[in-house]
Amino acid sequence: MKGLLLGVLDRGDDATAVWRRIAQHVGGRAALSIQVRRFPDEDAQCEALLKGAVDVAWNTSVAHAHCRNASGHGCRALVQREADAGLAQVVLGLRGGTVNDLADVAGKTLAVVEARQGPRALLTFHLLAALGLREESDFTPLWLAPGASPSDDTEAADLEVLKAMLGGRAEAGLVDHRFWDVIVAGRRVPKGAFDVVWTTPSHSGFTLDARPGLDREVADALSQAFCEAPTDDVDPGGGRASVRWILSDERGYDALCAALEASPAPAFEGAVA
Amino acid sequence: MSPAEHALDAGTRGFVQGLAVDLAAVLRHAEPGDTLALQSHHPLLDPSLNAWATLLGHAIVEKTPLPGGGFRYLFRLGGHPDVTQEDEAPAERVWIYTNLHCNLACDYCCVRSSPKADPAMLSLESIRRMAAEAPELGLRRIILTGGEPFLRADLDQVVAACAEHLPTTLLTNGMLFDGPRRVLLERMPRNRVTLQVSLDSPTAELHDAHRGTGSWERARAGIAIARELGFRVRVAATTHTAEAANAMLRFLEQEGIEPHDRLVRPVAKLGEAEEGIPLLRRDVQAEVTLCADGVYWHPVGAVEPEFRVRAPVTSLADAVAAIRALEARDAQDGHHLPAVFHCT
Repeated sequence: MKGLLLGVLDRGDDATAVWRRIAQHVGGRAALSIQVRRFPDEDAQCEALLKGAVDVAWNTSVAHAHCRNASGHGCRALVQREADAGLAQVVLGLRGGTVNDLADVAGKTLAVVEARQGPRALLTFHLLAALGLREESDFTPLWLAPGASPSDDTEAADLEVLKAMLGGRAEAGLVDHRFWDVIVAGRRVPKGAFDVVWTTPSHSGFTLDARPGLDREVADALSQAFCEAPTDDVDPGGGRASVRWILSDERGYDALCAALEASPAPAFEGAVA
Repeated sequence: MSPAEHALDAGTRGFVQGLAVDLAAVLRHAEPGDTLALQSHHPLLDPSLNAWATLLGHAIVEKTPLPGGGFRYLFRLGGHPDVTQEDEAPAERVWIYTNLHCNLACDYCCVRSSPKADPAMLSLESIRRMAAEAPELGLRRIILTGGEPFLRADLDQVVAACAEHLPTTLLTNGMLFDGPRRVLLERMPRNRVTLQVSLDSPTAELHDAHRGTGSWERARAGIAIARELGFRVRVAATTHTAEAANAMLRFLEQEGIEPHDRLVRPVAKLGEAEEGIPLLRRDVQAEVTLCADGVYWHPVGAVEPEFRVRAPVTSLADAVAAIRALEARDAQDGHHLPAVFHCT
């Protein structure tokens, strides 16, 4: 049986135990012996993947883009959760206010959920930077901490953004586009109070990345094992949800890869592991 | 009209015309607990204003017609002052059965209310007298229930008499908020009164099966009316299965009902109910309950002889004393610790 090293960010023993269970399950299906290695931050994990110290890594979208760019497309996205496809964020302004298009964010306060200081806000900030809007120098982020965990991604957290804007603490806000659709459809915000001034390019979230040069047969067997596994057994969240895995679509990261290349900011500055 | 610390004349501007920006400018300089008077001549502002207030946790305290049209809305900023129910002990509540007759005849009603039931109304004077006693007895909330309280023509006075002394929760099926009864509702003070509306299921089928055809739609409409009028609205579901309870909790979350305003409880096998949780008096913690025919141990058993503690009282202190004496006797008997059965 071939051995494989899987890199994951160190989010504590419980999270690692979940990954070990997934590794055992998927490894059994693919006839691979998968060992889990923990990394303290994304920099270290990306470096290990690029150097081949691990064979695959569970990467945020920003980490994937960084690895892909640094390896000249040598790092490949293998599989991702179905729910992580087709993501987007929207920048909102108050109707009649001072933010009516993306350029207006310059000099203003942008409300962002602190939990998004992980992959999503970081991704959006890279996209904004590529458009000439840099955090701190061009706009001020208002980080909101509604008590959510760093990886939490709840509706309640996005609601805090809307509250900050309506309460006069921020002229603009960044929320998940699915949340926005739901909240508008449910008439839970005053009709006409907000305008969507910009929508990020559609992108993918977390992905399982392969190191440059990983044997194609091994990569395919691993991908197939993830995609065919029973949904409850392969949830990085610990089985709280039924997770369906799909083959990663590299095009989902194109916009971010381009933004990272255009942005001089370090890929992971301020990232919460 | 009540004075306010902040004022905004919005004219005919609604949120589409940038009202949120004007309000944000006010809120930037306001503190939680401040009051804001908003004058508006916008004809259709209520739904959006209600969404704005609900999202930010502001309470609409008054809505007053303006000479020449439009309304003056008075908000207390920073939330409804009456969000204390989570902290309350059962012993800190007093239940008042305003009447026992009802426009519905639910097949699980624990007090056998129906259009044919004896109204058994407690007099306004009696309610007023006992409400005035409540704070000094250590009580923190008055809960008005029935029957359907909105069948009383003097309900606005009943509510005002209670809310003058303590935060008051009014239980209703939400179906009678039109005509003269809507006027009763509009007269009630928003800042001290919470409405608890019964809605048993996410769709009409189950709710209507137990409570009558069309009752679900009307209850939903009632909830919307109460929220638009600026009331804090709790939604209470009585369910027969754990599956139904879970479905209802998901529904309430989708509906944007705040967690502290959701109540889902099982049917008690009392009154009309032929199934549900069998309850004896000693199974539940006491919550002082006043009915026209006497004092009861708990609102869920307010027509059950076993739950009756004593004959009618003229003083709330006597009712509380009777309950406490029975609690002490239970304790002496070494009875097991009773559980809280949530009716609110």
